[in-house]
Amino acid sequence: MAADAATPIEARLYRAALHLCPGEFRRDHGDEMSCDFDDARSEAAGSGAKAIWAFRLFVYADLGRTLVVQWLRTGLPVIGCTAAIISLLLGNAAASIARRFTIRVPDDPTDEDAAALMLLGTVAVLVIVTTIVLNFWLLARPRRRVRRR
Amino acid sequence: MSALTPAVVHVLLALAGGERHGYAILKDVQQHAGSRLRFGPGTIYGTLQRLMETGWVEEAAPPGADVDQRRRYYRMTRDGREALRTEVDRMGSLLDAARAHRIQPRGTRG
Repeated sequence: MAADAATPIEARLYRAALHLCPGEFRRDHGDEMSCDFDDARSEAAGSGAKAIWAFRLFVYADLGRTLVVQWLRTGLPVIGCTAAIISLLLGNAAASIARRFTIRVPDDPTDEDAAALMLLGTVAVLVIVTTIVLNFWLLARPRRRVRRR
Repeated sequence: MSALTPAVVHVLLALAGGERHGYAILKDVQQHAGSRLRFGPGTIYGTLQRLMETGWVEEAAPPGADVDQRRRYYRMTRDGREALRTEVDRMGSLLDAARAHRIQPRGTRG
């Protein structure tokens, strides 16, 4: 997807926007999509200003939709959301258990800060661990790879 | 078997005429679908990606040496053709059922 100096700014913008797509999709189809953009833009330019604005609106709406669909297909947003939900539920469960015990609240403000930091750290570690576990679980599923000739 | 999405049907129909590159598929789909359905490059390549993963479409060798190297050519596999035929049969049955209830497609009422 290299852009030379003669490439119009609009095509460069589209190529840059394609970098928002997941890596696999971009590697497989990025060049073709930018090639199609160039051809379709030339055709629209020949049909007047109204056609080129309609083309811009359509092509960027399509790209936005593609971004959502392709990222959802990677499973990463699902992993992120699930990891956050599981961590919150685990944190809530731990808090429910801890409520049964008498916990001495530290008198020293420094200790309070340390306790809050520990709690925050625990939640962060839980999110990271859950994300890793879910990643392994989802990536273990066989998925047919598309080979380029 | 569940119904295929309009994008899948249109892409398979475009490839029924032989191997094509992505932009030719896009133009073909635009021509067949008319103004009712509009598919952009992202939709077409996303659909092609899924169809290749399913094994209904595969990449084909470029027809000549003087073609744009950025372009990739695609063709429909035997499984893809079978899936399209099944879908067309399903649509045919649906159309027959609609006709039996005196529901005619627009432009065919005499």
